Amino acid sequence: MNPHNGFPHGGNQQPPMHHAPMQFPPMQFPPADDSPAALAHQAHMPWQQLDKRMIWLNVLQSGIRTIGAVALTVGLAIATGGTTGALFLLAGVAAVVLVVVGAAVEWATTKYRIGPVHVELRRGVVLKKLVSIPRSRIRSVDVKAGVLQRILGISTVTVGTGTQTLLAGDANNFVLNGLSSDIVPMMRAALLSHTAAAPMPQPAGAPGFAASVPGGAAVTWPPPGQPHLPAGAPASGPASPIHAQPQTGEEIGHWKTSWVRFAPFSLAGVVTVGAALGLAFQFGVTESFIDLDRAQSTAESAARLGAVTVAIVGLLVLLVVSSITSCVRYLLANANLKVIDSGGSLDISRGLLSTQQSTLDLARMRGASLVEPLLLRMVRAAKLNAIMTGVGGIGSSATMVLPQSPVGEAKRVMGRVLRDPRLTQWPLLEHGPVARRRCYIRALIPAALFLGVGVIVQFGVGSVPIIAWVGIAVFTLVSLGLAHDRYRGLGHAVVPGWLITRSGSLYRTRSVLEPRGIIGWTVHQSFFQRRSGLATVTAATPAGIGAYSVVDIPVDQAWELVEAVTPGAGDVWVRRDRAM
Amino acid sequence: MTMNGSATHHAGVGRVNMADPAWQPSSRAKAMWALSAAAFWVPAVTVAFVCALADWWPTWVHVALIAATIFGAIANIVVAPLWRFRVHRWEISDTAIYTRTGWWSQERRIAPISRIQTVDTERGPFDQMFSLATITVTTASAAGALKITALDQSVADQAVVHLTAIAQRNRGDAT
Repeated sequence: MNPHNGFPHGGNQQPPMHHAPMQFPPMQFPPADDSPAALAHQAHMPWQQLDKRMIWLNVLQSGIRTIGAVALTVGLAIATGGTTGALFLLAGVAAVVLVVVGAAVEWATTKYRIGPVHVELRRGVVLKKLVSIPRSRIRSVDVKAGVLQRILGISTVTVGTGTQTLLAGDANNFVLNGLSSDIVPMMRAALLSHTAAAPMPQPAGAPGFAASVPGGAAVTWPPPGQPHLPAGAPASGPASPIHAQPQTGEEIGHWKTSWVRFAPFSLAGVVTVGAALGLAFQFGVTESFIDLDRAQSTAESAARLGAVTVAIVGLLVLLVVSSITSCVRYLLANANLKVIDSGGSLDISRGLLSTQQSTLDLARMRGASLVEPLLLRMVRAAKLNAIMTGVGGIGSSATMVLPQSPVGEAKRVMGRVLRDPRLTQWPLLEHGPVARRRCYIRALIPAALFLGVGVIVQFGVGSVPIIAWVGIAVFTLVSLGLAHDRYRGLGHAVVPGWLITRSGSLYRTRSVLEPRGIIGWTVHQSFFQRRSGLATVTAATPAGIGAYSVVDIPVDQAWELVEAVTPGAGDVWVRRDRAM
Repeated sequence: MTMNGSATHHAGVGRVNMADPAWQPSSRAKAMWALSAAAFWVPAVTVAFVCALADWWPTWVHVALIAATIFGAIANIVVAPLWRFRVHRWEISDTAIYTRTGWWSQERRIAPISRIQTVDTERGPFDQMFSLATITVTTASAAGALKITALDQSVADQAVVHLTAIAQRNRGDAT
């Protein structure tokens, strides 16, 4: 172990907003070390406390959260007056005191220490709790700072081991809820130094990622010339400076303000517009159409036309409002996004008012997914997620690398993250005419049902309004379009070292998965798939969403695919035909 | 970007087929599946008839309801157990565990024993009636659990011992 722990001092991309006087004794974040001497040292290390500003944060947050109740109490106190009013006022004061005392007690009873062997967190008054994480198990250190926290100059640090999904409020989470933002970058670098020493093994034949650096704009911190070796870095081997310095790295993704134009093209927007359309049909449009045929009186028609106008204007307003909302939300969450490749991990920082920094340990990465829903594809945009073992899961934002961004940019970053740009445009195998037919049949079933109901109603119960027939026709056309697009999206490829699979239309993903992340296979056939000789092959993995499927391939290729991706997966049951 | 034409075979592998797993569930499995299906469907049919007697809705609704529940009952109490028994197979090799399950929809699952995290046996009320047990083998993936249903208790116990013994031999964090 090298004696000096050279961590970049204050090596943060964004300097803290608030420079409070140093409240802590000069802090040491010792390098990871699990020798007996270090263990003995750990036992005698002093416990540290959170920043006192955390108390103010808690009080302010409680105040904001309960501002309605506060206003109500004060209002009632003034309105009722007399004894009752005084009682209300007393209750209010008591509540405030309770919050302040609670925050102070939390501050006083929460202690932590960053030892060479473990990081430890002690908290609780009645139910005392000690959370201890071995340094070598630390997989992520996420830093969050909300608006209030940024004003106060403190951050929340979450230490993750990557083995379980963090449930909010779980007592076993290692969350330091309020550290001075000044010390956070140092601590983060120290805690993650061991991950940078273990870069992801590069697949054979992959061109190195040093090639094609656009502009060559590498971020270097600390400046070259100052040797900063992290603890635990291997003394030998190709220890490039990128591998050696956790805070140093190359910026491979950089956010541009113009990307916000993609924000409105989300499912939420579609749902809003769909709901609005539904309402419009319910209350205005259909009735006026139907009754306009009969044209009872001009006055009534005029009134109905007015209703139609109102509905359309309302729809437009809704569209504008929902678009603006998505843009604002996108900006708040993703502005100033930076993806830094530090060799052993991806460091992602983003956020306009509240900032979020997350680290994706490349040793835990098993691939990446390019998410291109229909709406985003229409504007040539996509999202990029990393497939991580033990981090995040379905719908988690913890593994997001790029939010809605130009598809070319997303693919470029994907290639960099996977260390092989060819993977993003590798030609995929089509699944064949039977799979195509199945896409169309499945898409047309709902339309056929509507048509059937229409026919039954027409001949059994009474007449069907013409608008309903138009609706069924439009629905059928849309279904056909979706089926076409669905089949076009279907495909897979087995590349040495990778499985690539793509499916979906409204929600299309192209996932590139590393075989070493696959821990089981399922070959599923529904009744109709069996009849048409198709199967869906699913790779089970502890990473990402847990299951990645190759949809509707000919069943006789199912196990061939399995054996091609993970040779030997079929174990003793594999039977090979003569032809090689 | 896709290649033209239909899917071609993965180069260099040759035609690969998979043998079926060899072992069947217990011979009492059919009775157990039928009884557990009956526990839901017999009350459902009864409710449909009670509704018809009470005459709450138009006649055609009652007829449709009775027809649907009787159809569901026959499919699940008679057809499904027989069909399921023909499909359900399992086998454990020295290195992997392989199952075939389902009836209307069918699937085969395989997982290497080195990736197994837990092996549980469970006995539901119907299992207990027939001295049967279900083995659930979980892996680190939420999508990768294998279930072997309706085994003789003694067979299940042996299988669990066997699996844990093999799993002990190759330790790791199975991710």
